[in-house]
Amino acid sequence: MGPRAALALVALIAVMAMRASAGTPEPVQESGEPPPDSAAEPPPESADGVDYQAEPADSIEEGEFEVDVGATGRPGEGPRRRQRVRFSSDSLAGTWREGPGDPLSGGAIEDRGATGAFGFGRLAPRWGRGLVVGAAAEPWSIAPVDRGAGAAFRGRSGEGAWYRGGEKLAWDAFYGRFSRSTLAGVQSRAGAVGFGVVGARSRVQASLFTRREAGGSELAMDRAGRWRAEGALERRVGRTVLTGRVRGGLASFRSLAEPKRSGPAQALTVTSRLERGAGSIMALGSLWRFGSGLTGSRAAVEWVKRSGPHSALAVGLEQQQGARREPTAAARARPLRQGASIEWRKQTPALELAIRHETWGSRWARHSVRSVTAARVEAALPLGSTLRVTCSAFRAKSGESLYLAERDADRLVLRALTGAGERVRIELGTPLTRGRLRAGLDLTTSAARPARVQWTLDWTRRSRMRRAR
Amino acid sequence: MASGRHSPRRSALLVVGCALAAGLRFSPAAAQDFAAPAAAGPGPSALVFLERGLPPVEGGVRADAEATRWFGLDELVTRGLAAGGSFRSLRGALGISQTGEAELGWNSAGLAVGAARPSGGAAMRLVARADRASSAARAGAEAGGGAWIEAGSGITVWALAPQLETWGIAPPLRRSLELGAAIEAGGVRAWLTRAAPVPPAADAAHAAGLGLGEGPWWLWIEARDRPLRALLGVGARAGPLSLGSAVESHPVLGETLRLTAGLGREP
Repeated sequence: MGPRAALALVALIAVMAMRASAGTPEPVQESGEPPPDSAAEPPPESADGVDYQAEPADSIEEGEFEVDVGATGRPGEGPRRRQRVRFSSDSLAGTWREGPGDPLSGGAIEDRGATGAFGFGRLAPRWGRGLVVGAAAEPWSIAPVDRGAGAAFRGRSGEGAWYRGGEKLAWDAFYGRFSRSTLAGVQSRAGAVGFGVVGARSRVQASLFTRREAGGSELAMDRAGRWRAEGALERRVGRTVLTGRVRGGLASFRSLAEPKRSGPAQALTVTSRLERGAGSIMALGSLWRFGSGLTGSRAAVEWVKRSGPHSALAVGLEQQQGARREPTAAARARPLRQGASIEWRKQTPALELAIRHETWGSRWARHSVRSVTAARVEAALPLGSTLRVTCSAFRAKSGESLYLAERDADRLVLRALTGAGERVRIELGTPLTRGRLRAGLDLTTSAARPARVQWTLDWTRRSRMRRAR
Repeated sequence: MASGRHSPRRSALLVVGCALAAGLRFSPAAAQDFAAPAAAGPGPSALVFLERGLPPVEGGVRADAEATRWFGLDELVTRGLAAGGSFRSLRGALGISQTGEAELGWNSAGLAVGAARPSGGAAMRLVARADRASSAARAGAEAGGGAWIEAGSGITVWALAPQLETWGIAPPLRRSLELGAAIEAGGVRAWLTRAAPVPPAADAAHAAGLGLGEGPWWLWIEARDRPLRALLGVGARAGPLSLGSAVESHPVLGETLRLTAGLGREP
C-alpha cells in the first residue's frame, strides 16, 4: 500500500514533468524542501530521542555588530550562561558562541579578500549533489537545509579551515575534523563542471559533478570502486514547479566526511508545487532503498490557502513507510503510517493566533499512535513588549518518537517528548537599553514524568560599527 | 475529578461523575466552578469569561449568577456569582462560587483580566479553591488563559488552555487545550470544538453545536462525544436582563441542569 501510493504519485508527477519538459524549460531557483514536514526529526548523525538544536542562518548586514548574552536553567540547578557575537565588515565576518553545555558552541570566522576568501571554525561544505560532502538529512530530500552556501540553517559537519579562490577556474579546499576523522578536500570548478577529491590517509573519494542553477548531477567513487550517482532536475511549466531526483549506486559506498548521512543507495523523488493566486498545492512522492530489504517510501500532499499577508490555512496528508535513517540497531523500520495535519493562523495588529493539529496512525490515522494539538497566542503589549504563550498537548505511544519544533531567540530546538502530556511556553520580549530582552519559561507535564520547568533569559543588541577615518 | 481530594463523601458523589468517567474513558462536562449555560466560544457573560478565559467583545458592566445541579445530584450543586467590567479595550471579571454541601464542598474565587477588540481578544484567568470544611481546609489554584480572533466575516476561532498551571489540591476536573471555531450568519450560529485528551485518556473530546436566534430568544443544541450525548439550551433577553438554561443528558452520569441570570451589557 505504502510504496504503491508513493509510486503512483511519482509516476503522476513524472508524466507531468515529461510533458512539461517538452516546452521551453525555464530554470528556477532550487526549491529546497518539499512540503513542510509535519513530523520534523533530527538529522541521522544526532542521537534518537534527545533534543536537537540548529542555528538559523540569518545574516546581519555589512557593518553591523550583534551581541547576545543569556542564561538558562532549571529549578535546583545553577544557571548556565551562554553568549554569542556576530559581526560583518567589508572583508571580515564571523559568528562565535560559547557556553557550558551549549551544543552550538563555536563558530566561524571568514575573511574575504581580492584574491579569495578563507575561514576557520565550523564547516558545512557541499559539493555537487552532496554524495561526498554535504548530503541532505532525509532520504526524500532534494537539497539539504543545513549544508552549503544559502542553506536555511548553519550546519556543522566538521571543524577546521577552508580557502576559496579563483574566478574562471574556481577552487576551494578544506582541512578539518569530520566524524572523528581528519580530512582534507579540494575541488575545482570550470563553468558548471567540477571535480573534487576528499582524502584521509589511505582513504580517498573522488567526485565529478555538474551544477546548474536548477538541479545538477554528481558521480562519486572511492578507491575500492564503490560508487554512487545522482541527478536532479527542476522545471517550471506555467505556475507549476516540478522537481525530480534520482540516485543509484552501491549500498557499500559511504561518505568519508559524513558516513551517517550517506543516505539510501537508490532513491527516486519527485515533487511538484502549483501556485495559483493565494493558494498553493505541493505534492511529493519518494521511494528509496538503503540495501537489501531496507526500503522506504513517502507520499505527501499539502494545500495552503493564504488570505492576505497575515492569514493562512494549511492542510496536509501524508504516508510513510520503512526506514528513514541508515539502518542501525536503534533505527528500526517503521510500519505504514498515515498522517494528517491542519494549521491555521491569523495576525492582527495587536494579536496573533495560530493553531495546529496533527495526528499519525495506521488505517488513515484512525488508530492514532502520535498526535499533537498546539495553539500559540502572541499579544502586543505597551512599550514595544510582546507576550507569547504556546500550549501543546501531545501523545505518543511507546516506541514512537515525537519532536516538537520550537524556535528560540537564536536557535531552533527539536524537543524530544515521550508519552502523553502538555508543554507550555511563556515568552516575554521587551526593549531594554537599546537591545531586546527575552524571558522564557517552559513547563512540561506528562503522565510518566514529574513536571519539568526550564527558564531562559536572553538579551540581544545589534548596532552599526563606526568606520575609522 | 476527585484526584487530589480524599474526602469519602466527595468521592462517593463525584465517583459517579468524573472519576467513573475517567475510568470508563468518558468525557464529563468540561466546565466547573462558573459553568453558565452558553454556546461555545466567547460570550458576554462574566461567568463565561471566568470559566473559559475568553474576553467578551462587548464592553460595559455586567453581573451574572448561575446554579448548576450536576448529574441530578442534589448534594452536588454549584452556585456562582460574577461581575465584569471594561475600560476601553481592557476587560475584567471577578467571581465567587460554592459547590457541594458544607462539610464536603469547596469555595472558589475567580479573576480574569484581558483585552478585546472586534478583531480579537486574549485574557488570563486565575481560579483559587478551598475546602469548605474547616477541619480539612486545603486549597489549590489554577491559572490559564484563552484567545479568540475574528477569522473572517462572522467566523470566530479560539484556543483556550484554562489550566496552564495548577497549585495545591487538584482541580475537580483536569482541562486540557481546547480549540474551537464558530460561524454566525442570519441569526444562526454553528460551532465545533476539540479538547485535547487529558492523560490517561487517549481520545480527544469533541462538540458540535447549532444555535438559532429569533428576537429576544436564543435556542441551541450541542452534541458531545465520549459518550455521545446532547445538550439543549434556551435563553431569553428583556432589556438589560437575560436568562438562560441548559440541560445535558449523559447516558451514564445522569442529567446536568444549568440556570443563569444576567444583568448588564447586551451581546
